[in-house]
Amino acid sequence: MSTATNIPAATRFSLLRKPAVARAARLLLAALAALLLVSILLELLGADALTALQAIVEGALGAPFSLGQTVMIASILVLTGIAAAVPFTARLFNVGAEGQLYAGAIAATAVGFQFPHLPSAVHVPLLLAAGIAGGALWAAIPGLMKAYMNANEVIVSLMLTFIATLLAEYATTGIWPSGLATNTDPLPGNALLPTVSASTDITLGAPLAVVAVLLTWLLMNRGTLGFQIRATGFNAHASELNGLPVKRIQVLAFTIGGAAAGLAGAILVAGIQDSLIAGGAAGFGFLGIAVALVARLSATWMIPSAFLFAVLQVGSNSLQVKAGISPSMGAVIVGVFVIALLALGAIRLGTDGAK
Amino acid sequence: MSTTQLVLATGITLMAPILWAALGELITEQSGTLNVGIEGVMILGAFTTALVYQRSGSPVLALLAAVGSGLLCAVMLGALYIRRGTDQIVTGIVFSSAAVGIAAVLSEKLLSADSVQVSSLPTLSIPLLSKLPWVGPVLFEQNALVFAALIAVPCVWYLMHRTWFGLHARAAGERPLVPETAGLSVRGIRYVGLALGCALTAVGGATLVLSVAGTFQPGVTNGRGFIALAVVVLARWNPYRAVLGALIFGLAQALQFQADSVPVLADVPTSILLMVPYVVAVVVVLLTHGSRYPGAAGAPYRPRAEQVGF
Amino acid sequence: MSTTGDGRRRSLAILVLVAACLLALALGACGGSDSNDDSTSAAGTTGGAKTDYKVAVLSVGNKTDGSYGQSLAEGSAGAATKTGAKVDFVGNLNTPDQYVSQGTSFAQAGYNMVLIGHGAMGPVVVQLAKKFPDTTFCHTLLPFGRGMENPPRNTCFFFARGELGAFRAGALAGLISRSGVVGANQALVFPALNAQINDFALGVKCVNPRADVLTTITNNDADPSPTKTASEAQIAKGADVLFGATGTAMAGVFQAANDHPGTLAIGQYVDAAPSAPRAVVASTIVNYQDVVPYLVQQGIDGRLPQQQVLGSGLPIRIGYLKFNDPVYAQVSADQKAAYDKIDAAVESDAIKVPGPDRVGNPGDWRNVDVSTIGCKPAA
Repeated sequence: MSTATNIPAATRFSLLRKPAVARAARLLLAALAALLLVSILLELLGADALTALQAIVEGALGAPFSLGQTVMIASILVLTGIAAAVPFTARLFNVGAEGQLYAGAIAATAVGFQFPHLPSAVHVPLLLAAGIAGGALWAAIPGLMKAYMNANEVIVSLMLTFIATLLAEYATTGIWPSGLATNTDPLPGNALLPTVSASTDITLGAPLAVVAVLLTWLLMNRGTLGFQIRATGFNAHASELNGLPVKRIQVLAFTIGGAAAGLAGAILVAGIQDSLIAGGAAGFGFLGIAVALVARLSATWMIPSAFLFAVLQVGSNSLQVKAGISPSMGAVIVGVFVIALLALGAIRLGTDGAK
Repeated sequence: MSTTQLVLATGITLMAPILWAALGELITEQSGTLNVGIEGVMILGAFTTALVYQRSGSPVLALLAAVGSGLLCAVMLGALYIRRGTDQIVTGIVFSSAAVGIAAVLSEKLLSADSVQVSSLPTLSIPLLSKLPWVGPVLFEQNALVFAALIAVPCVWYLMHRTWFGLHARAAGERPLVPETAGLSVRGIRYVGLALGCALTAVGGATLVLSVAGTFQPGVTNGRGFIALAVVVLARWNPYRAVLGALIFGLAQALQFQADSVPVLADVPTSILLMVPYVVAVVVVLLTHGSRYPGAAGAPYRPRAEQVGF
Repeated sequence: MSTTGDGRRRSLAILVLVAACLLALALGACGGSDSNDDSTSAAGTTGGAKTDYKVAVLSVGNKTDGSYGQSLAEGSAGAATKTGAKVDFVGNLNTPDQYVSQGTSFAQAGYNMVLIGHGAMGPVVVQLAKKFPDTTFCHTLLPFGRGMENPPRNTCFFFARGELGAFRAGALAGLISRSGVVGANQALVFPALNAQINDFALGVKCVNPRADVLTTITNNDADPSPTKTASEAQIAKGADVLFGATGTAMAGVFQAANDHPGTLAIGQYVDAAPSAPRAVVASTIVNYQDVVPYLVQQGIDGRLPQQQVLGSGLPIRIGYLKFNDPVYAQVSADQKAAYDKIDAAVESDAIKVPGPDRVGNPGDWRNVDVSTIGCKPAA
């Protein structure tokens, strides 16, 4: 079996000497090997692997509405990926994107219900801004605590995630109860993100995610701040000696990440679910960490990485009807696939782990 | 029992599974591996316990099987974390979600509805001590696995600070070059640390089934693995402080069930009340600031021999 | 990082190892059944009239949770047998995106009805119904609130009056409690569930105005441990009869009762007697599982109403108790007679059990005087 590891031999081909192409080729080969592994797993479960894999792909991309679902979930994952990637570049491990997403979602919901009569052109930007601010503020807490009090940011951001999840629950039962269950009423129509393509239900959220990627790329590769974030991540101590405002950079890195997650929260409530639902974040914040690391923290790779996870996430829901496999198996298939990619070295990090 | 006694007794019960997982993670991290997958190890341990208990009726066999499942997880995770040097955070997160998926699928297939219940292990009363006024029923009438967790605390401390293994394990986690120069296999040491950690974490899962919940459901771990990760940092890799950290979470959860008896808390919505342990944890982190992971934890180690020709 | 031939061999070995371990785990999945037929699907069960009607039941719990999910799973199997339709049950679904994707995949596969058993998915039901006009999407609660005023025509909302059963459970608990203290556990806070707990408390008060009702909200319907701990705390305060409306966490209530001899438990949604044969005295709303066949038959016959309330006096007689005879045998004849009177009074509407519209908030039972709903405190 040919695995990703024989790529060095293939670099004889001139095209493959380009790092991006070589990386893509390695990814492709490893993906094929991982697919093989997943197929064996499916066969052992008694399902026809081809049918099952086809079910995943068709379930995610086969019809306009499913494609729209996949695109929208990919948009959320792109943003939570950025939420992990930017702080991580500064060597700050933000595991709280899920909480920052909820903070953004709650802030967006508040704006949505608070101003029921604003015209859409004002309401939507206001709602998005509230989401961004909510996520940024929620992320600023661990950022500030890390920078100025040297508190462990992993724990603080994780604890704040639990708190925000409970806050979202309280919001659906105590602040804006629908009188139905743990969800709010739908937001007023003027607060909802406009639909970009009617057949797929893709809303403004998707182009916004692409804009966020562009901004992140510019920030990290063209701006001074991006350089400073990288320098801080490379060696915070040396950066400080060189006169960089390391503490401020650390807070900013966290805040930028949180802003992306907060935007994801606003898109979730106003562009996908149309209401705040307890548990609505569905682990997208945590999945964002995997998306970011698979993309090697690169903004441009964030889109294919998020799309891959979204396809698996949405598509695995078709396993039950088409292949008789429990949807809980979806997480297992995603797991085997990603772990196989990791084990084959197709996705490897430039960094050597969180400190 | 008074309300205070009840909160304490319940808090100690709820502390046990978190403490088991935290002790395990502590060993793993001090030997240089950051196992973010403990939520997954815990749920598989819990599932294995329920399965074996249902099939055999023996809590001892069930516990042993849980340890076995922990070791199996360690073999898989070790191959990835230590051997292949995959990113420990992504691997851990993905492993956890896959493990929860496996546990959900398998429990629907293998655990029957009528016998999904497991008889909890009986409460042990320590002779004499349990007769002590006030503290007796709080501290000395608990489930066997709760006592065992508390006994494990000094054992883990002794293991990590007074034994040959502990010395080298901490070196492997702090400065891996040191044990390597001494002719030891850093990877070998880390494998052992991971195996011990996963075994204890799986016992934490077993504690959930045999004591705290008394049954298995796919949601039974409920984020306790992630809380244990936090407890380890709060405790600054000290097993004794881990007891305190785990107790914070146990007590705060126990308080929720007595809120009706505490006038100040009676009107606070449950979801707000449940935030208490997390807020407390943040405050504790602030007070104990500067908590830092072992120097080499999270970074896969490549022996010098393999680095030649890099 | 460079890779060498040695590295390639090693990576292969590791790959094989990892694969073997994962497959060992996966193999376990097949251990129980030797075919690939997923046991959650009741498809292929024949009986009733031949029909090509296809139904998917999507639920928050699972088929072994001793509560709501199990009830729907058994209902799905029953619906397949009784109506001849193909009925798939999918459990352990928790998040909105899962319901949207599952609903989509079944609708696209030509399913006629998708029944969603998760209270918070009202918005999802409406969203799916708009996208897939050929499939009927049913929701376990009545439409309520903004955005639900004019749901699409291909929706069906049904509400089973679980509070009738909860009230009866409360009356039984009040009668058989020796300590005069009973406990009720609630997982989440939403009107239908709040009403069940409130009506349980009113049932207790109806037969024993001096009784103490301890209620706890655990805020968790997936992890049985808070439920068990909360029940144990109630036992420590003297409760000797326990009730719960806690979904998948329900096992915690039985477990607590089982561990403390002398404590009795009342189950919900399924016959809980097998779960804790010595502790369960009765189960309520057990015939909830008949709801699925009832709705499926309505769907096949093309007479599915867009909204319906299922309660006493209707074909689906929600809200009775099913006794666990060995334990119920220990109840005195007087108490049984007293219970039968309450049962009849609820059935005849002499006792008007308030619904979520009246006791929809936690603790609302404290504001209801039982004499106003028709209870005549026993002399």
